[in-house]
Order: sequence, then C-alpha cells, then structure tokens
Amino acid sequence: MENAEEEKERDNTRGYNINDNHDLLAEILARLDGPSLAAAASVCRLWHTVSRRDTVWKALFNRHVAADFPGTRAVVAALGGYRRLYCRCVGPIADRLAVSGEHATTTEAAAARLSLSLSLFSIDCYERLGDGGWQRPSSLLFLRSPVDVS
Amino acid sequence: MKREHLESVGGRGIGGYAPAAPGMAGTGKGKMMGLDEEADGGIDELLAAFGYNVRSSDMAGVAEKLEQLEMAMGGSSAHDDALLIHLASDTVHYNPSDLSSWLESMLSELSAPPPQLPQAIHPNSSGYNLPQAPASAHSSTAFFDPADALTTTESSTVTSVDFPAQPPPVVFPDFAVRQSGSGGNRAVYGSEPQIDSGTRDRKRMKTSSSSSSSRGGSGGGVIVQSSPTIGSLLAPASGTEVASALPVVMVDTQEVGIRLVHALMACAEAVNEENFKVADVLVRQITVLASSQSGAMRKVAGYFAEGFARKIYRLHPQQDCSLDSAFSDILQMHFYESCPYLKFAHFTANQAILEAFAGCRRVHVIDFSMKQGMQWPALMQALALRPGGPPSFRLTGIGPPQPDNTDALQQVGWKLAQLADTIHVDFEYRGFVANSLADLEPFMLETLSPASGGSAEPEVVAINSVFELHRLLARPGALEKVLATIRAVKPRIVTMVEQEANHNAGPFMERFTEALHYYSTMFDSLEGGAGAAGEAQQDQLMSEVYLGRQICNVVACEGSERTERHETLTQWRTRMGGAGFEPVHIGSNAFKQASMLLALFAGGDGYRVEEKEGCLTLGWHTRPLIATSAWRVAGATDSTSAATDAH
Repeated sequence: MENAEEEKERDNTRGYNINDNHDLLAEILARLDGPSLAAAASVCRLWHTVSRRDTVWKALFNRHVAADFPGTRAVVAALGGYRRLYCRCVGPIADRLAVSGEHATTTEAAAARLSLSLSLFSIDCYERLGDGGWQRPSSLLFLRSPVDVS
Repeated sequence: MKREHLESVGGRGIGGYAPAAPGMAGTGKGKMMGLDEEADGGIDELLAAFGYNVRSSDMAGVAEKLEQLEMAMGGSSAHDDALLIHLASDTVHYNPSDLSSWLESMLSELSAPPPQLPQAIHPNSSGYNLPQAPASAHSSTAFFDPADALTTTESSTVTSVDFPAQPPPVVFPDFAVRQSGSGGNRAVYGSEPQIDSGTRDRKRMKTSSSSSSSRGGSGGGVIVQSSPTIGSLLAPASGTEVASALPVVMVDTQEVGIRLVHALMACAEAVNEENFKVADVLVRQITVLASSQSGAMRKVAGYFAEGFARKIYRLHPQQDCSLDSAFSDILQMHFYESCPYLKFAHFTANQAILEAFAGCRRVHVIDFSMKQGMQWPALMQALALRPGGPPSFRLTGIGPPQPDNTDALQQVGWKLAQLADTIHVDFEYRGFVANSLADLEPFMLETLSPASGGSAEPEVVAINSVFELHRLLARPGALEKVLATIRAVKPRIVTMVEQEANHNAGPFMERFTEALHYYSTMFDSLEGGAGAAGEAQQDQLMSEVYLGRQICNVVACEGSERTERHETLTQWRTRMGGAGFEPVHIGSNAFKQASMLLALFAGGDGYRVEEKEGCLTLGWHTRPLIATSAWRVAGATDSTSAATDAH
C-alpha cells in the first residue's frame, strides 16, 4: 500500500514540474523582491532565462514605483528594459531612500521618484551609446554604496 | 602642540622679561625679529624661523620639558609677583634660542620656588578677558612691531592672531575652546580645566597679539581641524563649553590649521601689495603647514598656494585655449559624476524648461554650455513621456573650438540623435563653434527655414546656460551683447545656473577671502562622499583639479584672463533686470526632484536645497554654492504663447 501511494505521489509530482510551465514560473518570480529575484536567477539555467524576462522586472518595478506615466513602457523598453532600469536605477534609489528614511507614500512622491529614476536611466543609456568615449558609463556610480575593501 | 608651546613659553619668557630686564628683552627681540636662516641640517625649520635653534632630534625632549615648565609655571595669580621678582633678580638667564638648555635652566630654577605665573606679563591682570587688540599689542611691542608685522618678518605674521568679533568655537574630544567675554579663542588643557585656564590662556594668547595693521575685514577667526569640516568652522556658531578630564594637551593640527589660514591671509595681502619677496616666503610656509593638515583644508591650501605662486612668478597658465577646453571638459565630466552640483543644475533647469514647453508642439533649446550634452537625455525622456506625446525637439549646441579638428559638438549631437530615435522623439540638432558667446548673432540662432516651419506652429525657444555667463564679465560689453542677442531670439524661458559667490569684487583681498570660504566649503562637500572605490576616488581627484583651476584663475589672473568671475544671485538679478528680463518662478516639482536627488548622494545630509524668491540654490550645510534661476523677456506679449498656452 505504501508503495502504491508513494508511487502515486511520485507520479503526481513527476506529472507536474514548475519548470515545465515557464509562464507560470514567470508569474511566481514576478512576485519576488529584487534580491530574491537575483537569487532565483542563480538557481539554474532555466530560471536564469525566465527571470530575465522583462515582465518579471516590470512587475517588480511597478511595486516599487506606484505611479505610471502612459507610454512609460515603450520608453523604458526602448531605453533598455525594466530589468536594466531596476538594476541600475530603481533598486539602488529605493535602497538609498529607504536608508535615509523617505518612503514613496504619496502619489506625488511616487511620481517624483519615477521621473527621477527615468531621468537617471536615460542619462545612463545615453552614456552607453556611442563608442564608449569614457572608460565606463559612470553617471550612476554615486548610487552604489562604497565598498569597504579594508 | 609643540610649536604653540614654544611660542607661548618663549614669548612669555621674553615678553615677561621686558619690563624687568630690558637687556634680555632686547636679545629676545633681536632673535625674534631676525629672519633666521635654517642653518645646518637637523635644525627644525619652523622654529628657526622664530629664532630658536632646536634640533629636530631633540624635539620630543624639548616638548616634554616645555610641558613640565608649563605645569611648573601654572597657578593662581596671587603669587605671580613673587615669581616675577624671583626670576628677574635672582636667576641666571640663558639665551632662549637654544631652547633645550634654556628649558633645563628654567626648570631647575622653578622647581625650588612655588610654581607661579609672572603677573606683569599679562597686560590686564584683572579679569578674565583676553587682551583687547590694542592692549595686547602694547604689551608685546617689545618683540612685535605691529607696523611692520606683515611686511618684514614671516614670524610675526604667522603668530599674530586676528581676534574677530565672534570667533567660532570648536568642540573637540580632547579639549575645549571657549569664548571669552571680549571674544577670542582659547584652549583649555584637559589637565587643568577651569580656574587656571584664564591665566593659561592669556599666556598663550600673549604671543598671539593681534597686530593692528592686520587685514581689515578678514574672513573672521577660523580654526581648522582635521576631523570636523572646515565649513562648520568658518561659520560662526554659538559657543559651547566642554571640559575634558583627559590630561591631554591640544592637538597639533589645530594650531597649525590656524597658522595655515593666517599664512594664507598674509600671503594674499603680500601679493596684493606686490611684496613678492615676502609672499614667496609665505607660499613656502603655506606648503609646509598644509602638509600637516589632512583632507579638504590641505587641498584648498595647496591650490591657493599654487595660485599665489603663479601670481608671484608671473606664470601665465599656458593657455592653449583649444587644448584647455578639451581638458576642462574631461574634468567637468568627473565633477559631474562625483558630486551633485551639475546634476542639480541640469535637473532643475530641465524642469523649468519642461514647464515652459507645456502644450507646445515645436520646441527649440539653445544650449550655451553644450560640453557632453549630459543635460538633454533627461529632458528628451521627459518630453517623450509627457501627456499628449513628445513635441518635435530641436537642439542647438554652442561650444568652443576643439584642438584636433574632431567635431565634438557633432559627435554629441549624433549620440543625442540616437537616443532620441530609440525613444521616438523627433529630433534635430545643430552645433555652433564659437570662441566666445559674444560672437553669436541672433540670425544664427533663429529657425533656418521659416517656410517649412511657418505652416506648422512656430517654435518655442528656451535658452540654457550652465556656468557660462560669468565668463563674459571678463570683457566689457560682452555680457550686454549676449543678453541682447538672447532677447532678440525671443525665448519663452532662459535658464541660468551660476556659482553663488562674489569672486568679482574690485579689491583683491575681498575676492580672496570670499574664494577661500567658498572653495573650502566646496572641497568639504567633496570629502563627504570619499573613501569609496578607485573610480570614485579618481572622480573626486579630478573634481578637485577642476575646482583648483578655478581657484588659480581667481587668484592669479587679471583682466581678460580672469574668466572665473562669479557673481551672486542678487547681482545677477540686477543685471538681468537691467537687461529687460523678469524672473520666472521655478516650481515645486523641481524642488522635490532636487531634494530627492540629493538624498541619493552618499554625503546626502550635508547638502541643502533652498528656494529663494523663485530660484533654487544648492549648498553645503549653511552655505549656498550654486543657484538656478529662470527668466523671460519682460512684458513679452507673445501671441503664440497665448494661443498655445494650455493653462
């Protein structure tokens, strides 16, 4: 009897694997926060690929920035996608502002945060254009916390 | 610590003997006044300048003995007379220039009688007050001649301390500085906190007699320390008192810091009076003193010293104009990255332009400060996302000629066009190379083909200038011409960002003190975000070079070469008003965005955004450093603006 039940269970689990359904996986990953999402991206190649979908990051972005301008999606996609936007701008901004105690509670503050993020993102994209005259695009360096190398 | 000890004890010793033993005073005076050469190796250079021969190797021992002497001589004022009489009559006096043996003799003398402080040394035995400037000058005329304090000997200039009306106090872990009733800074040694501090301080300040000829209206009493920021020290604040229980004497760097600032002031005066021999000596002294400081003060002092040196040796910065501009572009890029000033400028100007362009279908921005075009991606993105869709966006960039025939302006334009293409903004670009903004004529800036543009809506023009207009003040009439050109183009809005400082005043000394304060604050703010990774450090270094070039220009150049002619917002208001412009208030959106931007910077809590009559200023702590303002042509009755005005 045990064998039968175990086998049945195994059948069930074998029958359904989250990795079989990429969209479902994406839906789930879309509910993670930034660091968790980055960790999920390190699990396996499949998860890495799925977690790089822009929709996943867009969901994350929308949770952080409660405002939205119409047409944002097109612009963001053009500038490099939500993943880049989040990794380079929105995430670090959220971290910094959380440290300094500001939270985007009002819609105005959220809108300001959004426009600031987008502005910085566009500057960063601009820097990456062209032949890379500067060593590295570094207009966003100020967002990164100093690394203690002592 | 050591130096001040030597000064105080030496000075007191010598001065104290003045009433009692003129012969001794004469010797002392002679020693003090003479510009001793630093003779053989091993003799400490700074002390030699004061007339003391002390071997560098002996310094520790000498310092110890000084401390002991200090202890021995400290005490309540009641017994001062006794000691004085004793010292004057019964003791054998040795030449104090050989400090080591002199100290030994003093110690042996004093170990017998009760430790007292000679009363007559102090000009006012009664009361707590520090000697008023004239009083102390009188008391010390034995060895300081105020009249030629600044012009003859370096020693006198360095040791004189200016007592301002409200000196800033400093709270430091190991000791305290207190304000006296009459004003003046004193240090309280940890070991003897309260009572004797009066006599102690008087004897310390004794040598620091303020010479009556010292700089009028100088930049206030300043104390510079390594750890707290310079800015907080230069600004007067209310005094607090902390008596430390630790038996520590004052930290060396503080005294050196005071001396450094005074050396800078003295050098500026010498340069002003064209007394280049003295100035030369002072510049070297500044360099030596600065090396003992750390952080911002050292760097600022270094750049000012360089500026002075250029002035003295008439080193005109080899102005290969075109090469210079490329280099300064690179420096400005690093300045852009390492601190928020330029970003603040761009964001606030963009916000003002965005609001002015509301509802317009064709917009044209003329940028006087094109450089790398870092301001415009953000504006384009904002235009792309505005309700109603983006307008067609035209950009005219003005820049200086480039050295190697590369058309930098065109390259920037190309990059911007690429970006505009990705976000689907209709974009047109034109670049103008001009040696000076005054070379521009209105017809160059206007729409090329009125025919094609006439059917559609006419263009709405905005003019943007970041740190460019002040250069025009170097040539008379240039600014007026440019403002007339601007008016002729009929812009909807003119955005202007300038340094908030008056570095264009007539007298050199005023300019110098203002610049010292301003750049000290600037360098302070740069220090805030320091200690980061290699790239950030490189950015900071390049930013400092960028600011250093400005310092050299302010200090060393004159006439048309001096292009860093910063003026305050109030002055600009007068100029713009006189030229027919009226101010436009920058909205609260800009303020919010700017505040949020600043919160992102590592040293964020030091920066302050303030709104002043519709203009935004960004400063470090209490000192505004740059100001953004917006203008429009006064009384403009633009029919198109009425038609397209969405409000």
